[in-house]
Amino acid sequence: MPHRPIARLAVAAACVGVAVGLAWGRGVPGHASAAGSAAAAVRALRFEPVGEPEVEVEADHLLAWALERSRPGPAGRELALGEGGAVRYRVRWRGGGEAVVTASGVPWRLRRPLPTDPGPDLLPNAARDAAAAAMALLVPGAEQFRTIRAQSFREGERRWHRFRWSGGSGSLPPGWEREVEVEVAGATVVSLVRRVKPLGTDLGVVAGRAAELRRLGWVAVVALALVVAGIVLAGAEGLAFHERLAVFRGILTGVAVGVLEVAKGGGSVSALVLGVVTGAAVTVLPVWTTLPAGKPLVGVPLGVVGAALVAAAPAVVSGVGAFLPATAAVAMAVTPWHLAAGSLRVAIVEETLLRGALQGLTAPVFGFWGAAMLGVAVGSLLHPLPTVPLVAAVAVTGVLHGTMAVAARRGGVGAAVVARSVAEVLLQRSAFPVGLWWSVTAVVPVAAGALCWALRKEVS
Amino acid sequence: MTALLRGGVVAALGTASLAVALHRSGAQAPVSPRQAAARAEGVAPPLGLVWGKLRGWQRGQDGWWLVWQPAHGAWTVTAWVPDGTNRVRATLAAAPWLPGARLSGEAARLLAGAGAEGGFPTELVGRRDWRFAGATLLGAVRTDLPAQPRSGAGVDPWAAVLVGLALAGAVARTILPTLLSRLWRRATLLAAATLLLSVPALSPLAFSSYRPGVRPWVAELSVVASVAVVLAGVALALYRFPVLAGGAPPWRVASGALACGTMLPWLAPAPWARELAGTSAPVAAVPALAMLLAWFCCLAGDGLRELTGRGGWLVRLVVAGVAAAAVAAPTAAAPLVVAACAGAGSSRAGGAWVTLAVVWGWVTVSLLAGCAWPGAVWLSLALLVMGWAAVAAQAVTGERAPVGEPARR
Repeated sequence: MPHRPIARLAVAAACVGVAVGLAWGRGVPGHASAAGSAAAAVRALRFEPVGEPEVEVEADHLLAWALERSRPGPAGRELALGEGGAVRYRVRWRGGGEAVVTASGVPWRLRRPLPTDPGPDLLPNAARDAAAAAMALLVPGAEQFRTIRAQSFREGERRWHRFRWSGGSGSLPPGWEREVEVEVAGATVVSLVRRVKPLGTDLGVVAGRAAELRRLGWVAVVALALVVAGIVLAGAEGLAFHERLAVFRGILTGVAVGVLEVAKGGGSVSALVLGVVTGAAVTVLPVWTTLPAGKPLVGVPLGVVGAALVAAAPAVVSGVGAFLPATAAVAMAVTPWHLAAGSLRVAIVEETLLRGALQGLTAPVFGFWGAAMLGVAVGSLLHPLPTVPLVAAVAVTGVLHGTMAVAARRGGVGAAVVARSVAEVLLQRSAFPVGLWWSVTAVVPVAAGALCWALRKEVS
Repeated sequence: MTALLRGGVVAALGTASLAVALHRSGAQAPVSPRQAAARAEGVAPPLGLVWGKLRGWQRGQDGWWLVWQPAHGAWTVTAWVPDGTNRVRATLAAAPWLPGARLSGEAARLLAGAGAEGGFPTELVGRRDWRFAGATLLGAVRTDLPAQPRSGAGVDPWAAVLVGLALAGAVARTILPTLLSRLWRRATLLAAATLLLSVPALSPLAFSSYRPGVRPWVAELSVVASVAVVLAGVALALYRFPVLAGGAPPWRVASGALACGTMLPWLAPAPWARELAGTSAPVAAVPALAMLLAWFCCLAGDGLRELTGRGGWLVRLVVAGVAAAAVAAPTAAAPLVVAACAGAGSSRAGGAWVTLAVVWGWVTVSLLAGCAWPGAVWLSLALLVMGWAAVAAQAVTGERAPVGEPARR
């Protein structure tokens, strides 16, 4: 019938549109300009950095989410990237000196090398004036800060002074506190450090929920350990009764998972463990004849749907008076390859275990959807974000895993793997820096997959 | 006459084992954890904040570790309550995001020691101190407690051996032609269900789960859900790898196994026995746990037997060697290895009954050897007498357990 390909093309086009909306132009700002902002800040300490700068990401996710919760909407996210100091770039120069600037370019920590002649030792009042002058250049709204502590000490031939200012909450939520500490050696300002002291209850709500979700994650770990035992037994049984096993495919998948784990920055031990477990699971998959046949491309549109649902969740959750962080945890590794490898690795390992092995082991007892719900329950405890109330975290991650269960029903484990990798790459995009190549990495494979799905031939 | 003689022999053996069991070991807990908690609450200095409910306990070398936590979970109060009249020590652990807990003046004076008069509190950015004329108390509470117990410090090698043997046993039961025992399947499934229902009452055993910053209901939910998942897996395994059908072993073997089990606590008592006895559900949980452990040991025993060979002197030699190694290098799991060896040494059909006898003796005498408070003592004595009564009944009547049905694959 002619209308089916047209409808599929329309769905594929919609998928590409959603993928572009979720991934294009997103990301953490400031990576490209971090070196320039840091160099400008260090120059204010009368030091000219020399050599190639090395840029690393630093992030305090709990602080960022606490700011998001205290200041709902874009204001909280802007604070996390700026005055809150939750997302930062550390810049080091080969020739010495180090600076940390926030994602929006605010100088956060600066340290210059101690010069051979830092100038004459200053009296405390003069040193304080020098420190305050440096602070005025580097800290917006420096006039709001008041001195709370001054220390002087001698180290070697130099007299050092350390001054600490408190700036109240400023633009931060009420009850939060900003601090600046400046060190002066001789007559030279050598370092400036900014700190934020969050209100205990604001940080506690987020930190407590994160700790609780880590504790609940034990349940998923226990369940997956039992699944691994089931894989071993199924493999032994398959060998004993000469059942069909996908040995070659299993080895190939295990090696691929190991390589992806190393590529995304994981250790060799975790690569080995994940590779062996996933390879074993893939090997015994043919034993479980209750699993649907493989039609992997079905996963592309379902993956886009899953990503769209999860991306819309913060607005829905906040609409009912609850809280869910709108931003994912910032990625510490920042190349486009890390984005692709991380998404694929998560998809292959988790979907093989949850929609393959767990489903195959429990479907004879609970039926397909009972086993699928078990997989959703286990999966929803693996990577939830801290929410208030706690159940919202499990519900939102459960929606993603529910979509994967639908994909597994429609197209088997392969479709679930494809759907999960599509959803992960779109959702994780915002954790990587702003830039063309990250967006291309997220959108192009999804667009290609959607096109292949739309143009594939029907097999009766 | 012969039946009465057999019954008399069993009664004599039971009495002897009871006498040996009643010979108390040195590691007995004189009071239950709840009694220890009452003592701690009575004598410890007020910390100036709410302790919350008693959440968990763990037995130390010569005392109880107890943990209290309020419902909001922001802090825990851990107390070391030594046996006897030694001083109770309490410490406060707060979530890292709290600005710091202020001690009451009374508690601060007590901790600062003799001669601390008056005193005034000082407020610092990350700390709240007390300053006295002759002393300063920095932070919250002195941390001169005995080293707190750590969970998961290492893998018990005998536990790893048992798990490996159990996997082998599961494969063996799948592959070999099987007559399953309907009685054992029902009994073990009932034990799993009983334990599942008892899990909420057993949450105090998860002492290390209660951490500052995690609300206690979440910690309890995590423990209960983890145990429920494990028990669901066990129930699946009970169904998939059932005990083989067959008659019970001769009364001589059963009484020997039970007597062997009663001696095993001197090798290594059940590590959780004293904590379990302190909960509100030991009557249901102890027999259920013994039943499931017996099934597990029987599975491991089947694995050991099939790995060694189909029978004959080689099996007995290997089994004796493994059991001797477990006795020579005892860990917490070594008695279970001995039980598995006892199961492997007997016939495929009778192994489950032998392991049940060994595990039953080990668990009940571990309770008796580890607890001195009346509730636990009476429970363990009752269970031990029940065990010997069952063996005596078998000896007198000479009956064998019912034969099972063919396994449905």
